[in-house]
Amino acid sequence: MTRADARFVAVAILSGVAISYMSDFRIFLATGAIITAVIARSLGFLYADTRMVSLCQMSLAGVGGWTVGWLTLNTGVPVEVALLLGGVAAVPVGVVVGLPALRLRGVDFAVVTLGFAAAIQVAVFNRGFPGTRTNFTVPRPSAAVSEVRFLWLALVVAVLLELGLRLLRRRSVGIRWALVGKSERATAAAGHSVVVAKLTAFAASAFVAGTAGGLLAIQIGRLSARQLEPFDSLVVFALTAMAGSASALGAALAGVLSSWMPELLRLLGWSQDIGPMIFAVGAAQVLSQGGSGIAGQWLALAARFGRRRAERQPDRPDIGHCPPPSVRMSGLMVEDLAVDYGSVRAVDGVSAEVRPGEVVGLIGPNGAGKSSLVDAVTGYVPVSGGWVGLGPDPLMGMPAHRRIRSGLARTFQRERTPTNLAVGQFLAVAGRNRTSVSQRDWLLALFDLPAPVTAIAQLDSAERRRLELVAAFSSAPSVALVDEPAAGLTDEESGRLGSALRAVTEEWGVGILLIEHDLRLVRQVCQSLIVLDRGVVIAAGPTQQALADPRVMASYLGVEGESP
Amino acid sequence: MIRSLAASLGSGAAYALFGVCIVLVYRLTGTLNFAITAVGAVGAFTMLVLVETGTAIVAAAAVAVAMGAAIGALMGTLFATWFRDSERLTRSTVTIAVLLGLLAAGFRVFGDNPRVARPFFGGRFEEIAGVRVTYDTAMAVLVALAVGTAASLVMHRTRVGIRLRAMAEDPVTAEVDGVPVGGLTVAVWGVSGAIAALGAILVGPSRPAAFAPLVFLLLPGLAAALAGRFSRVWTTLGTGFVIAFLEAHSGRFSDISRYRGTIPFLFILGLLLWQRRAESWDDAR
Repeated sequence: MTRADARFVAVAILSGVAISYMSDFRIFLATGAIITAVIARSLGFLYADTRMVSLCQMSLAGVGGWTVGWLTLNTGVPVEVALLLGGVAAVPVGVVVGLPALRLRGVDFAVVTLGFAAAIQVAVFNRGFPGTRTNFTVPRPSAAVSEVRFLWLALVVAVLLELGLRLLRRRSVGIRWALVGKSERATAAAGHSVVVAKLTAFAASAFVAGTAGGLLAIQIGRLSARQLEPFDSLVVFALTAMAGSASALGAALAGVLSSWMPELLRLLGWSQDIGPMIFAVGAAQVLSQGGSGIAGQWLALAARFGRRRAERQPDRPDIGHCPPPSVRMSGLMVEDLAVDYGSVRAVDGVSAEVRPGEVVGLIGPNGAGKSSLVDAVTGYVPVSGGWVGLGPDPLMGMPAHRRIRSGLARTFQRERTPTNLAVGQFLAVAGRNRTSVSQRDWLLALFDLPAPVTAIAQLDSAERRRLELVAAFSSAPSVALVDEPAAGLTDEESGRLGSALRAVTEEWGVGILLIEHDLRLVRQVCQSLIVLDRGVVIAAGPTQQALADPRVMASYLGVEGESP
Repeated sequence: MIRSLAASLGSGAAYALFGVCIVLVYRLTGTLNFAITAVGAVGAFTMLVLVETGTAIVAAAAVAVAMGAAIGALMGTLFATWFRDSERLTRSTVTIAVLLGLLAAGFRVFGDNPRVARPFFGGRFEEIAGVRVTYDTAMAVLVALAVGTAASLVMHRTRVGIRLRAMAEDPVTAEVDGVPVGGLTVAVWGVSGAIAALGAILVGPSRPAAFAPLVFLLLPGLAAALAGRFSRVWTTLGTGFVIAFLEAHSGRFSDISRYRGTIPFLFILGLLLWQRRAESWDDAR
């Protein structure tokens, strides 16, 4: 448990104590607020981390509540166990709804989930919850019959769910949610399956919502379809967006708003149906402001007082040596590779080899097919012909993340670091335990980056690009494919980058395929070159020799161009 | 079979029109508009209220379409002003909030009870091959086809169409090239609001509807738009009719008729699994 977790638990306990002194009716309302907060959290982390909009959270809660009702009516399962099973039952439902969305993003997911909310309403909920005909009500656990005791039960469940969620979000599985929300390409480049990342997020979200639904069923005895309409899922969504989707504080605020808005409207003598309109306007307003919500603004304000940029480690005159990771390095073989985009042949029969410890430059004018070649080798675009292998193992037919796991690494022309994570978190996910802490710190020092606790959002764009390189090397790859790392750097910066790249290859034996326009860097680090033009290799060989080739000067530098 | 087909034409026309609205706004302004049927429903219910108070049905319909256009244009102004530079996800998410707001406002103004819309032609019909086709149904189909034709013609044969397509491709570049992006955005939203109101009016006589169920005809509309990959008008129109037919036909089998409400969802599910079977990435290199 971290200090933040302890603070969260303390605040929850204090709130519980304060609420315990209220009237039974207020306690009932507060319990409802806690349950709504849990549902808001299930939706909020999904939106904040993975950028998936779910419009069926109340339906998932309904599945949990339905299950709890059915189990207590038809089996002798104690209600506490039924509550857990209610959450579990929502998981396969959430996963099945999520399946068609695996290749979809954000708002398309909203279409599927809204459809699901409407469908389960007519097919299941409208036909009655278990016990509707016999007036059966779900019993409360014997230890939590009174309102106060049930409040504490709900609070304990909510706190446990939140702590579980925090635990997951600190570990690789949860960090991948944030990574996939930022960029699917970067997730695959870190060697992780986009599908697994999304499915685990849906599953976690469904479990949390389903458990909350079970709590609701126990609180009021039996759910009714009227509480779980698609409209209610829309309300929860707007409420969460307005209150703040990214934090437990936002979820708690959403719970409070949902419970106290009707009270407030009653006090003002206004109609109840104004509530959802207020949430709708609030959500639209928040989204126009960047979307962090009320809680997000509070937290940003609080952070301003405590903010301190993580200190760089003091002067590092000598970075020193670092023992290589105990990983077998193999060479990359590319034979006769072809890539077609429709009728355009972007890469036409390219062969290349990168041996361990060797830096091979890949140069050529814009549109020559350099990045397409990297995409094809790493499995991001389908190839029309040829062969790619790492050592003796063929990589053909593997999805991108498995090629990365086999020992490739790559960076992108456009930087894709997840700004919602800390440096160390990103490296933990990208490194996949293939390098030690001291090796990671050596890489950070080598590329002149701040300590692992630093938030990536605090890094400037040049630092983020270097961080992407460190992420690539932290998986101890056999071969890293690096796309224009020196773009936009000054000569001095580019020189330091070159030394760092050399150090990684010399110390660890990593092979590098370097796409670069900066010929100073190319000459500094590359032992050999492959020159592409219009998808075809026009020259290959030792660096000086390839650069001196007249065809290279003609196509790449212009005939009249100065000698490189 | 033929009977199901005839029974489904009215709803089909409405689904088709909703689908076309979604396609137009998505294709041209990069926003998936979840609020489109809510805009249409506000128009249609305004018409019902007007008719109840004695306004002539055609005049009431005209007011309803104008209402749809006005709300649509208002939304367009909102998006052109505050969400110009927002990403697609944010803009579409805002329309979910607008959907919620319009639903809540609709409950408040029009109540929760189903109303029956009076048919335009007093229920007159022709018998074709032993199947009754009302004049209202025929008009609905004709309107849907006319809107589809007009949309294609405007997009591919006119100057405005060229500007719209330039805007769809890249609003910033289009603006630099002198395309009035702000005005066109508002216009697109306004037109889509008017079409949505038409759809909501036309579906009225074929089923008694409360406000919320009318709004949730969004789902068949979304399914149709999805089938047209949010860009093809005619595929979207056709799919609208297909979904309505599937619903009507399943209603003839008592075992599955109570599940007919799940058809749009199942359709969306199947369609997505088929369309997105190949691996794809979230953005360009």
